[in-house]
Amino acid sequence: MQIKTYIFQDLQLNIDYLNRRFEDCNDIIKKRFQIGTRRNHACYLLYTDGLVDYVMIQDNVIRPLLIDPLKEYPDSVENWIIESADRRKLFDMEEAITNILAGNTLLFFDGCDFAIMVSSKKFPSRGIQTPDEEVSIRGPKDSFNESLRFSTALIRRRIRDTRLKVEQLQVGVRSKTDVALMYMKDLVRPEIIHQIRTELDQICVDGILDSGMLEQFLEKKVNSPFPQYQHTQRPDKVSSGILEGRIALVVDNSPEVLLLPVTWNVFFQAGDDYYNRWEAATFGRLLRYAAAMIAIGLPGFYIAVADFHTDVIPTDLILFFAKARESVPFPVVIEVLMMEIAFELLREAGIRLPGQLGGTIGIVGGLIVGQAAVEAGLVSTIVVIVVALTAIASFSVPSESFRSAFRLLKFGMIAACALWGLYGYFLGFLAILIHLCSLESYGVPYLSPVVGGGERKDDLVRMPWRMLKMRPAFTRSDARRRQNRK
Amino acid sequence: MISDRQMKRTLMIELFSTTGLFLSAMAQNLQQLAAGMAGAAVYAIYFLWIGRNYDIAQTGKIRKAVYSFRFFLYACFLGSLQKLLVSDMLLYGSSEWYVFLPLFLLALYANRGGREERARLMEALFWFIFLPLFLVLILAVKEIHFPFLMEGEFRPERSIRVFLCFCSLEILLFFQGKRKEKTKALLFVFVLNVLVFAVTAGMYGTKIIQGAELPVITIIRMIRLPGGFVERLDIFILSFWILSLFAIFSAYCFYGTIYWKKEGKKLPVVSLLFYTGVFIVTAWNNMDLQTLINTFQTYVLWVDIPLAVLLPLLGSSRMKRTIAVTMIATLLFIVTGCGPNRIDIEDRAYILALGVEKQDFLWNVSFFLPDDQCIEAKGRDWEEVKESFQRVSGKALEMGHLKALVIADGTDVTELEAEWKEENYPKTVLLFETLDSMEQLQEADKKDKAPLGSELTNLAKRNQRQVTLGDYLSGQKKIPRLRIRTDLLMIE
Repeated sequence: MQIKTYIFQDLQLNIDYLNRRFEDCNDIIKKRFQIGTRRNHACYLLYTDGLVDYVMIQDNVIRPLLIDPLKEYPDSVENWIIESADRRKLFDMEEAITNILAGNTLLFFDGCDFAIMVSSKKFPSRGIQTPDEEVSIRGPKDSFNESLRFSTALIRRRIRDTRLKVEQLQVGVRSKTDVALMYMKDLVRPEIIHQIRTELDQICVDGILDSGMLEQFLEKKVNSPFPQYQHTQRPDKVSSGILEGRIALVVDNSPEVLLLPVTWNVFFQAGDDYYNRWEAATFGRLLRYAAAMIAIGLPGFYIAVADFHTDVIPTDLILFFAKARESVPFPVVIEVLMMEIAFELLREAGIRLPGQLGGTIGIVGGLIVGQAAVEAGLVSTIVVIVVALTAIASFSVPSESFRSAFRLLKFGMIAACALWGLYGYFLGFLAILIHLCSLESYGVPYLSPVVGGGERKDDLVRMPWRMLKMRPAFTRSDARRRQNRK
Repeated sequence: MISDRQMKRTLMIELFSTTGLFLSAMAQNLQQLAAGMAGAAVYAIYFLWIGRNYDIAQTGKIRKAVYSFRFFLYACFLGSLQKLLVSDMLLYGSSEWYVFLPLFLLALYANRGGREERARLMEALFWFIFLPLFLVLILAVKEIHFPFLMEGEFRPERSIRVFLCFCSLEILLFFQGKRKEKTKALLFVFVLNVLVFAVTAGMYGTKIIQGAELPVITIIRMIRLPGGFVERLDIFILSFWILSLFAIFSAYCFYGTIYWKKEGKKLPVVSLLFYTGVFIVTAWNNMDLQTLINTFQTYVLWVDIPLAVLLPLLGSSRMKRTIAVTMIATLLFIVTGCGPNRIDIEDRAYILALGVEKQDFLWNVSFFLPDDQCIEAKGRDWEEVKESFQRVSGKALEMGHLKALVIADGTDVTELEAEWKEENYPKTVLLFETLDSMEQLQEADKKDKAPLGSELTNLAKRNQRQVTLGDYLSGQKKIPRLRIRTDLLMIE
C-alpha cells in the first residue's frame, strides 16, 4: 500500500523526491528547463524512454512552452499552452509516478502544487496480424495484439454504441497492469459486473503479465481441468460475446481477451460458425462434439475392448486386431501409454521448435519413427491408428485450453479402462459429467443449456440466423430478445 | 433451488431405475401387472397428498434416524445389486469390493455438491439413460406377440410383488416442486414400465423371464443392433442401466444424509457413518443375486412400506485425503490380485463354433477357431471340458464371439442348459443338430474358406432357419438339422 504524497509547490522538493524514487532508473528521461520567452519559470519534465511519442512531446508540449510569454502563469500552462486534448491536472505524486511509467509525460512547474499529465503513449507494437490460434476460412482475419488500446479499439470499431462501456482498472501492485472491462450496459447482468469488479479489486499480486495469469487468479475451482474463462484472439468473437451480454476482460500486454461467463458450448464454437450457412456450421459443431468424445475416450475404449470385452467388436475385426498385436512384447495398456506419451512429446517439440522445424518434427516423428516402431514390433498398427485418430480429434476442438483438458482426461480414462474395462470407461465419463455439473460460471451452469435451460437454438445445432431471436442465458432476463422482425 | 425440469427428470430416473429392472420378473401377464400398478398409483397419490404439508427436515431426530436407516438399507441393496450385475456381466472374476469402489466414490463425489448439483447431474444424465432404452424398445417392439401378454391367470401375490417394485415412490416426499410436474414424471415412469413389460414378456413369453432374476437384462442380451458394427449391444445397454442404478443408489445415500448436514461442516458424523457402513456392508456381503432380491423384497413388504406410510402420519481436505488413501489401497489390491482377469487381445482363443457330442458319459467338444483350427476337448462336465481345452491351447478360452453351436443328433443337452444360461454366452448363438460326426465337421471347416461359425451363420440366413440359443431357452426345441455332403454344409 503506497502512502498518498501530495505534490509540493516548491519545484526543487518535487525534483528531489522524484530523483530519489527514480534512482538508477535510466530509462526515465528527466529534464529541468526554463520556460517562457523570457525563461522566467522553471519546469521539470519526465517520461519513460521508449514508451512515448517524442515528436508529439517536442512539437506540442516543449515548443509551445518555450515560445509563449506565459503572461497568465500558471493558468496559461494549465489551460491553453499545451497542445493536447488528453491532458489532466494531478495533485497526487503516486498517481503522477504511475502515469510516467505508463508512457505519459509529466510536467511539474515552479510554484504549482500540481503536475500536468499529457497523454503521449506510443508503445512498441506488433501491429494487427491474423489470429494464428483460431484460424477461420470465412470472416474477419484481424486479431488482438499486446496493446490494450488497440484491442479495445478493435472491439469499439465493431460496436458503435454508447452503451458499450469500457471500465479501465489496474491490477498488480508492481506491474500496475491496465485491465479494461468491456460490456453492454443494458445487456449484462449487473450482479456479474459487480462480482468481477470485486474479484479484480481483491487480487493482490506483484504483477499480471498476461490474461492467462489473470484467468487463474479469477478461477473459482482451481483443480478443474476445464477452462472457466474463454480466451480468444478474435475481435469478432469478443464483440459477439459482448452483444450476448457477456463481459470482455482486455489485459494490457496480452494478445488474448478473456470472456465471461462461459458454458461448455462456447468452447466448441469456431470463429466462422456464424458466417457460414447454418447446415454447414451445425455439421461442423456436431463433428467437434464427436471429436471431443474421441479425444477423451478412444485410447481407453481400445484398452477396454482389447483387454476385457473383446466380444463387443465384430469377430473379423477382433481377429485382425489380435493378429496385429502378435509380435508386440508389451501389454496393451503399456503400448497405448507409450504411443500417447511419444505423441505428446512430438507435440511439445513441434510447438517449441521454430515454425519450419516444427513441421519437420511432425514428419520425422509421425511418419518415420512411427513406421519404424511398427516394423520393429514395438507397437501395433492399430494403436498407431488409435493414437493418430485421438490426436486428429483433439485438434478439431477450436479452443486450446479446452483441448488441454481433453489431453489430461484422456490419461485418466486410460487408467480407468485399464482397471475396470468398459465399466471404467462409462464410470470415467460419469465422473467427468459429475464434475461438469458441479461447475458454474458467474451463476450460469457450465453445461447450460443442457442443464438449467436457456436458448437451445445455438447449442448442438446452430439454427439459421433468422431463428436466433433470443440471446443466450448469459444476458439479463429482461433483454433476451435480440431480433425483432420488421 | 432446482427447476421444474430438473425435478421431473430426477424423479423419472430415480423412480424408473429399480422398477424397470425387476417389474417383468414379478408379473406373468397384463392383469397381474395392472393390479400391481394400480396399487402403486394409490401409493403415489398418498405421497403426493401427504407431501403437501410434510417436510422431513422439520421432523424430530428419531424420525430422521429411521429414515436414514431405511435409506441405508436401500443404498446397501442397490449397491450390492450393481456390484453383482457388474461382476457377473462386465468384470468376471474380479473381487466384488473392487467393483463397488469406483461407484461408491462417484456417489460421494456426486453428492458432495448438494441438491442443485445432483439435480443438474440428473438433468444431464436423462438422455444418456433413456435414449439407449428407447433404442432397445424400438428394436424389440416388432417381436412382441400380444397373446403372450395375456397368458396365465390372475394371482394376487404376483401383483403385490409388482407393487413392491414401486417402493421408491417415497422419493416424492423429497421434492417441493409443482404437483403437476411430479404427476408427469409418474405417468412417464408408469407408461415406460408397461412398455418394458410388454417387450420382455411379449417377445418370448413369460417362460424365459420366470427363470431370470433380471429379465430386462436377459432380453437385452437377445437383441442385435442392425449394421453389424457392434457384436454385443447388451454390454452397452447394461452400462447405461448401471448409470441409472448409480442415480438411485446415490439418491438414497443423499437422502439418507441430507438432513444431518450442518452449516459449515462438510461431513457430519452421521454421513461418515452412513457412507462407511454402506461401503462395508455392500463390498463385503456375499449374497447371491436371488437371495439378495428375495431378502430385500421380504423386508420391503413387511417393514419398509408400512414404515414409509406411517412415518409421515406420526408427527474437505480431509475428504480428499480419504479418497487418496482409498485409491492407493485399490491399487495395492490390484497388485495383490483382486483385480479382474485382464487378458490381452492376442492371448485369447476366439471360439467361433462349438461341436458337442456325448460318448460313454463323456462330453466330446470340438472348439472351432479361426484359420481352420479345431481343438477337441473331453470331460465329464463342462468345467472338465474347459480345463481339457486349456491344457491344449496356450490361449484363454473366449466364448464372446461364438456364432454357432452344433449338437450331435440324439445328444441330451439339458445338462448344458445351466451353462448356456450363464451371462457370458451370447444368446444370439445359432443352434444346429447333425447326424454326421464331428470329424466330418472339421473336414468341412478345413475345405471352407470362411471359418465354420461364419459359414453356419450365412447358411442359416440363406435358408431362413435361424434358431438361437435365446429361442431354445425360451422353449423352442425344433433345431435345424445340418448335413455334410462331400464336405459341403447344408440344412435339411
